[in-house]
Amino acid sequence: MKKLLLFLLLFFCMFTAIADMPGHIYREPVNVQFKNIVSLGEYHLYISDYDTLIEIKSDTTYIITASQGSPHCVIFFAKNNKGETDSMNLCEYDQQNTVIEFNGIAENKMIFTQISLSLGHASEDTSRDINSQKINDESFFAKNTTLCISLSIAALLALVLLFIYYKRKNRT
Amino acid sequence: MMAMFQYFFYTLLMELPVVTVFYSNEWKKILIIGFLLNLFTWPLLTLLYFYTDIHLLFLELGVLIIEAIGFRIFLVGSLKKALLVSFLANSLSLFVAVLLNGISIL
Repeated sequence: MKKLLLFLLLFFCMFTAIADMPGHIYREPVNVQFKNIVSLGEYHLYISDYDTLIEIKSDTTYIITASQGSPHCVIFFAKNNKGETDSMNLCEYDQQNTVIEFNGIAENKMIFTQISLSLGHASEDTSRDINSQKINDESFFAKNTTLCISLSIAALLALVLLFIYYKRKNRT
Repeated sequence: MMAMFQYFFYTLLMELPVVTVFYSNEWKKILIIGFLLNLFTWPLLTLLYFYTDIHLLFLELGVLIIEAIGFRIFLVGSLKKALLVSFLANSLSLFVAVLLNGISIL
């Protein structure tokens, strides 16, 4: 048993040799301010976050929640009846707040200025956003916390019931 | 939602065959027990991994021990065997997860 435990310990230690990857390090959520959305005209702005597609109808501060593992990234793009623009990628891994100010669309590409701010930097004029829809979905996982806990409890109950069932079966 | 739970199915796909190899005479039982044990541990591990600073290796160690206890209770074999099987199954799924997701367990 001691040898087995020692082997387990050594085996897990082996994994620590894996380097140059985004690690299990605490990171802060980052903000992305989308401004001047009106300039997109007939195009609608969309944010794709995991498997959720969100339409942004007015100037918005979007929070990219921090992942402790692989980077949490969102994709944004504009779309109209004819097609989509090129999409852009934003990740919390950079640990920077971002301001995206749109200036229009040309040749199917979004024209915008992007400003990166350090996390300690005071957020830019969020109060000026008209009808600002502050989306803080606490990431995909927040929505599913209850579901995850329910599944675990259900599985535990099923295991207990199975245990009782097998015990009775063995007796008979 | 499926994006999240697809990893659960990957875990099952990797772990169940490993466990079945070692408990081949109880393969029908292992499908149910293995599924339920993973259904118990996987959501908890996912939540704890994303919401706490507990190191992934400690979380995996907890899963390993819980699943080994489960195998010991439900299947015929020693605790040593259960620990070994649980270790092999969880190491495989962890190793693949590390490779696929580019996560480090430093």
